Amino acid sequence: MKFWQYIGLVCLGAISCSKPVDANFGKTVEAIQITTTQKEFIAGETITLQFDGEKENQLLLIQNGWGTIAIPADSTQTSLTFSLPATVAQKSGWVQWKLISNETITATGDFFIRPSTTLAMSMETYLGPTSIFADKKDQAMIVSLPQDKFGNPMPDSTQITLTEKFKSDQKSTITSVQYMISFAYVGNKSTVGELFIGSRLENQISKEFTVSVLPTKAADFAINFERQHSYADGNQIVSFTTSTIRDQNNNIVADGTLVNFVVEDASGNSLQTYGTTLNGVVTGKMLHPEVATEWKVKAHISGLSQSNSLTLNFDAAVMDYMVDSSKDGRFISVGPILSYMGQWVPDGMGIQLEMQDSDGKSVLTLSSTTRKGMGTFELPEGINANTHKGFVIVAGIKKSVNHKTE
Amino acid sequence: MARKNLYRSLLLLSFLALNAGIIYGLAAAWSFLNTGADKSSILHIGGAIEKAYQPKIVWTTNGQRGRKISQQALSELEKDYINAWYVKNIALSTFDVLGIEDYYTEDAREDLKQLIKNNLDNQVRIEATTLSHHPRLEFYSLDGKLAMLTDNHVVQVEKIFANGQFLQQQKSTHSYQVILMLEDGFWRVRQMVKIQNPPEAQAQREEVSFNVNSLKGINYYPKDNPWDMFGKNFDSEAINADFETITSLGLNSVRVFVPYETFGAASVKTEYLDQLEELLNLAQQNNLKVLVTLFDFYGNYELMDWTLTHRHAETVVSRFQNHEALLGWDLKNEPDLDFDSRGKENVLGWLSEMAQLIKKKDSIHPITIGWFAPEAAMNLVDQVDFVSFHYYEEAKNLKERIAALKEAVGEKPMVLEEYGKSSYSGVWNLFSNSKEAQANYLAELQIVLEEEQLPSFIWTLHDFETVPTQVVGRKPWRKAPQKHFGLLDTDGEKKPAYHTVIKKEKGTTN
Repeated sequence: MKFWQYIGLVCLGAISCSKPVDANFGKTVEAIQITTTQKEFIAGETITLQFDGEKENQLLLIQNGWGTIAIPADSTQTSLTFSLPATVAQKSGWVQWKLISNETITATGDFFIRPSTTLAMSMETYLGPTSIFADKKDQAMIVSLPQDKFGNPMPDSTQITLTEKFKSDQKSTITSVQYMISFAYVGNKSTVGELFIGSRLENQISKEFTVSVLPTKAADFAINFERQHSYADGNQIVSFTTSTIRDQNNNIVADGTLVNFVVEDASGNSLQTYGTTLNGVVTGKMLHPEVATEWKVKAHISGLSQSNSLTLNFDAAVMDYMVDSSKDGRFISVGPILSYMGQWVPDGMGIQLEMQDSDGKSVLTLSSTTRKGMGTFELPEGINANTHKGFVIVAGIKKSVNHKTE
Repeated sequence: MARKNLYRSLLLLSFLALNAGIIYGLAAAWSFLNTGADKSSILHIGGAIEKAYQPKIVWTTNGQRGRKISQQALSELEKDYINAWYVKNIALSTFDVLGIEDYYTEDAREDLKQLIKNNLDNQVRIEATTLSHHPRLEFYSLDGKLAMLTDNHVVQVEKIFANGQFLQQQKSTHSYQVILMLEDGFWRVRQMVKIQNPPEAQAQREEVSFNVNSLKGINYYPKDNPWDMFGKNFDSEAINADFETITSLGLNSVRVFVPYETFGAASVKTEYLDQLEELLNLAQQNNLKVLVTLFDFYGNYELMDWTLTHRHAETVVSRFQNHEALLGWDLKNEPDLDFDSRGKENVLGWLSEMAQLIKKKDSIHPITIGWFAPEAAMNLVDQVDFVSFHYYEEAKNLKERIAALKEAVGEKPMVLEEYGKSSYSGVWNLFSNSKEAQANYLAELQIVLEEEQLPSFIWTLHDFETVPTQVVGRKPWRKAPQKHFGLLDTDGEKKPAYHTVIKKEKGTTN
């Protein structure tokens, strides 16, 4: 008698615990009693539910997290028994069932399946982002999904050990599972390097993850220049070199950081050159001007940082030169053009020629370059150094073409 | 000689015609081969696809751990999560696991396929849908690739079939813990564990107070566009004039219809709602109350369609629930006529759910169902605030039909929502009818209504020149009478029935 009272109590408990299921059309006649008293199982166990009713036409409807299935009664048993298939018995969580005979619900109930105590071999772990800045603030996150061998999530408060190693510093912390996962923030580093990280739960181990700690935004830096001489010969190269560019935390900026050098000359023209860092240093190069001028140079990393401003002076390399025209006025020769040491200017110095008619209107402009200190122009038909006025510009020095009078 | 010439010319003409044919054919083939695909099909910018599944979703994101989620990311997560439910429901119903690949991770896929295989082996088929979700975002990872949510109180409706036979329909509430992962641009379900339902705050339901006893109404369509009064045909002047006529008849309410598809189905078009609002405003100006009948011309009561109809009802009801002129909601016109073709269970299941949904949205206005047969009105009496039925049969039988219904419904108020008679007299009924017969029928019925104190709505104000095919079908002997139920003929002239009504309602003839 006592035994039956106990059964009755358990059933009553089961009914009152479960939320009433409002079925629209199924008539609920709680005619059959469940005799299985166990309300908690372990995933992977054999789960059988036994009832005291007739075997005929009974179908057990089972709802777990993944969906609903219906199974017929076990034909090998004499009593009304249902053996739950692995698809339900191996999955943890809350399970509700309903016994249906034809169109009538004859019993309802629920039970709980705990995850198995045998853990999965490897810890399912995710890490991201895989690179962070060394700015003491940036973080990555490691998320672990500890599971049993059937892939069921472990219950809340399961303790996960997290191990990180950064340079010579190694430490372990404990995080606990909440809502099937455990997570932790890692990072907040001020130096560049590789952060290694992994998690474990007993013998369930994750693989080794790496977070690259990268230098952050460049801080302001300095530039210097180097040149062979200060003459504006349009031939030599002046190179600008930065100091080692570092971020706020003294980490050398990432290789390949683009640095722009902007040169402004005395007449307000802008010139630009750029280079990319290697070990934090960039060298930008630029040809000497052909005209005496003053350069103001500044380097930028776009939007992030800049250098000091440099001033360079270029002296005139060419003092004076000769301009002659042929007898018929069709050929104009320039030179010899002599440089700062009295030698020919290097080949390739630019020469501009402008011809004007008697009204002072420009009718022709030609340009050429020096070769062995000389430059020549052949004028087209109709334009003649004898009938037109001509001007030559070399290294910023303007001279008019002499008329051959004889 | 003449004959010879005739042959010659015929031969020549046929030769020319043949050549013309060949040239035309070649040209057509040539131009077909030279026509490229049109740009919209290359760029996949064709029209938006109407979502086939739109359960109600209410998010909670406060208290979320990890990175704060953006609205954009949340809506993408929601879309894929709901798709995951949809493909699962399809898979349970058809055993087709195609969509499962997209919305479940590799391990989860296996679990789900096992479950479906189990049902297939046991010859169990489950049609399922979910009506509402209350997801609470618990966690969103820093790199935005993993999310965990608790979906509380998911209202699920399932129909279980075993060996092809319908066994059970059940509506139940479940709660789940879900892990989703962003893979290949899809949020995929990784883990899904059922948990016990957390306690739910019970909403206090307000009592509906209404009075249908004084209702004297008419079913209304304008003369020129019956069954199609909204959209480009909407004519507020004609409606206003008709409402004035209705008021002058001594009536105080109208019943109008909201066609489901025309109004835009799940995504209701604003311009149609605006027109309905204008109609309600006009009714208010004329001191008329409006009984709005939803889901006109709707006929698919399948589980898979539930969420779409719910979104439709929600939009319409929430827009007008505070309108002064609103009398109440009629869920569906004559759903009992769909019992045979759609299955009684399907129709009743849909109506019952719809009644609950509308009640939830609008707790002030009464709801009813416009049953065709008085006997059908005995269904779902608990779900409606007043019972409605239609009557077009012998006047002498009305009294006993009402008595039978009254016994079944008890205290619930009843409304005769449609009654009337066609004055059509022509070939199809061998000239056996007349306008007087219509007037007499109304008068006869009105005596019964008076005795029974039954509020009623006449069918209808106007005779119509055309009746759309979907109303009574194509058959002319059914269409013709349908055009002549009006109190006014197509020229606007008052028929004898008009005088019957005005005499009763005002005690005068004019």
